[in-house]
Amino acid sequence: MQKVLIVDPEKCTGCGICESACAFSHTTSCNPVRARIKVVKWEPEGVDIPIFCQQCEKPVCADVCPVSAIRRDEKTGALLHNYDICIGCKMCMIACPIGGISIDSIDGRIIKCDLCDGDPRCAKLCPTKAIEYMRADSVGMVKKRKGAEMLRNVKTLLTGN
Amino acid sequence: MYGWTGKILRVDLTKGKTYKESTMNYASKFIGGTGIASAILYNEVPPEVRPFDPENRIIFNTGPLTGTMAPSCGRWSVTMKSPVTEAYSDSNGGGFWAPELKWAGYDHIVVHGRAEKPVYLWINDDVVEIRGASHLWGRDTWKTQEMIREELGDPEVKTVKIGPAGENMCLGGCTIGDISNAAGRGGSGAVMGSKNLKAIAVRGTGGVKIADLDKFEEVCEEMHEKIKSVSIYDKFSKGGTPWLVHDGMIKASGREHTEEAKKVMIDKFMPYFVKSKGCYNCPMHCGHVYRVQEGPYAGIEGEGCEANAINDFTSTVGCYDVPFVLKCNEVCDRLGMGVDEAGHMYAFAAELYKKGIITSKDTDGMEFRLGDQEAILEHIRKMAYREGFGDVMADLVVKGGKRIGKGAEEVALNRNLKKQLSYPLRSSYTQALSYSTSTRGSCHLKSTPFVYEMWLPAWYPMEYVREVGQEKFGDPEACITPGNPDGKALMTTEGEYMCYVCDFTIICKFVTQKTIYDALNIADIARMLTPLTGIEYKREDLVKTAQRINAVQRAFNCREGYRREDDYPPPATFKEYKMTFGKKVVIEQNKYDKLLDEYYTMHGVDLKTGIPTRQRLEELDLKDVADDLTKRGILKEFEKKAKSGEKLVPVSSTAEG
Repeated sequence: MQKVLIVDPEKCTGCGICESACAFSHTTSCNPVRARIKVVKWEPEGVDIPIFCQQCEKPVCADVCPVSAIRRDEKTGALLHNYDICIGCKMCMIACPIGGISIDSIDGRIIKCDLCDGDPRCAKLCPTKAIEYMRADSVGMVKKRKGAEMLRNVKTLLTGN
Repeated sequence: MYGWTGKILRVDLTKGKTYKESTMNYASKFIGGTGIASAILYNEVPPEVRPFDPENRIIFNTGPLTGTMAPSCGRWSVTMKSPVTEAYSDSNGGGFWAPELKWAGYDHIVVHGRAEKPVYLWINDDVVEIRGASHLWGRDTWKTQEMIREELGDPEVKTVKIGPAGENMCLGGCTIGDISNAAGRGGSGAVMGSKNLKAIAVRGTGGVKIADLDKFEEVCEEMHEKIKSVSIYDKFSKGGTPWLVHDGMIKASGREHTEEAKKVMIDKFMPYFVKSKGCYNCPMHCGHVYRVQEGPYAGIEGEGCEANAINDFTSTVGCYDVPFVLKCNEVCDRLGMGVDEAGHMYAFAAELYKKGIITSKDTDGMEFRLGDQEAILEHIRKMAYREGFGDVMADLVVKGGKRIGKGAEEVALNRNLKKQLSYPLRSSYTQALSYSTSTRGSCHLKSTPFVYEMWLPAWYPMEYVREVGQEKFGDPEACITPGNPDGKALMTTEGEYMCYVCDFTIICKFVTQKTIYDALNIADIARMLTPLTGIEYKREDLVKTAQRINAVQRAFNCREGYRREDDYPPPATFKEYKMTFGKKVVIEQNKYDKLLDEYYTMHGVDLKTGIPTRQRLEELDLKDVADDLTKRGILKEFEKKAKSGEKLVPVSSTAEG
């Protein structure tokens, strides 16, 4: 059963621990500019949304790559980018509809979420569980539960009182 | 360079030039934050330079831990000679500006001089520009950030800026990071305004280098977990400072709350707090986004309505309306005005008006009635713009009181401490001593007036409270005898060490023992600094650095004329009593005298004058400070020296923590 990295923006506080953890574990310095995940913010509305590669089922990035540098990892389901094959044409970055791929401005390489080989650091350290790494069958259930709770709280609906 | 970037940015606004200096000129003795800033201030801002003179320095600080994986290390501080206290002051703010400055490559920014026209500073890695800000002058802080980001074409630019309050050199004018992270105390905004400096914008991509990556990662993760495991994590992370202060203080005072006060307790705020917000890399995320959707203030939204703002715009001004508090908070953020200053000046004017010391002739017709929301908002605006009577209010309690005369100064006496806003400090001897000896004027952030005697008994089982008393102070009753001065000089001093360590490494005080007893302590911070910098730090090293910095700040203030009498609380402190956890606390002057003597002895300070002794200064590697004080006739060579072999109180009674 594969796991999915899923985000709940309402829980995100915008603290950026995910960015720091990601950059730190993939590179040798504390530099969130090198993170594969970024929190997009709107102030003062207070909207914070972490954005990262969604490991699409139909990956446009893989399709557009002229040298097939992006391949699926069967174990984690992550789309892995291979630096050695990559020619740096940046077509994957341009094609991705959500900005899941970016450039590491320090070494010029294409970077994207690789699910940390099955143990994503961001999910591990997120203090509010705004990012969770959970089984694919659980994801829908979590959302359904949230919806059902809204109905449950409306007493008149259930008891007719 | 590990931890530090190694560079201090020097900005000369008169000449319109910038240059760099090595942080390592100061780092071994002062480490960072307000530590290095205090040393620079001491060296470069003598008594001849007054706060609004171009030669005053305004220094923006980060620390070696800033912008790393270490938890809650996103704060910045600003240090200068303050126009409020006419002496040392510093203030700090949270958010995201400080890490960006580290990533751009600077540990500190030291600004002096005065620009001919309004300018702002733009720092983008190696690019440093002094850019025109005439189009920004007059704009509120939110608009300023928006316009700067658009001009520079980057929504990720972080800014620290002033609003109209700072521009008009209102002494309550503060510097605002992001949209709500205010360095509120001491008039930093006014000093920036006096230099025609509107904002500092930063964008950095360099990151921070780590000496021992694996070890640092391991320790940081441990500290993240430690914070999330503190006993009050659930309550504090959800309720923030409004919960922290209300809950702790309600429990301590044991008072029944009036019907009015119940309208503004934390539970009444929660429906408006739509979401939690966190500063850079902080697992506590104690901030909130607020939104008002109905009523006369419908439409306002913002961040960071903290406990102080709640007190300032409720009981202080006689209002008990949650949306009104949020409105005032938003207004102050936009104007770049300190919330304490805004609320307390209204209360001060109200008292003067009631006593007939000022009349509507003096106040442009305003009656300064408590509970008058419209008048309060108008007062805040006029104070920021120095309009009419607002010009007097903008000078705050001491200077404003002097201008009014006719007995206003006597009324002001109980509202100020070392010229900062204050009130009688009767909850405990530790509270009275901590606030009074704070080097930046009345404040609770240079020591821990609450953690031992208020929050420990409020939130932990009595057994544990007694354990702490025994372990840390050799007395199981230490934390539950607020009305007994014995051992309280040590309690204050221990608290100082914790606060100073937070201020020179820069880590947020809310995740340390300054606030929460089972959170990070000094030893924990040393364990992070070591793999970060590659330099071995132990608790004793950080404590000694804290002592050194405190001595520099005290010496700086003595140079400005501060003496022992400035380390006393307001007179009303000795006149009435207060109940703390059911115990009647009476602060008696003669007992306070003795307590201060004990504190001075621990700090190597001359009992009669409050001036640090040469022996102490030299022990702390501050011979140059001692020589400077001697040259100025402040330190007399014949001052009583400790007898040889006589030790001052040892560094700390505990081996760890």
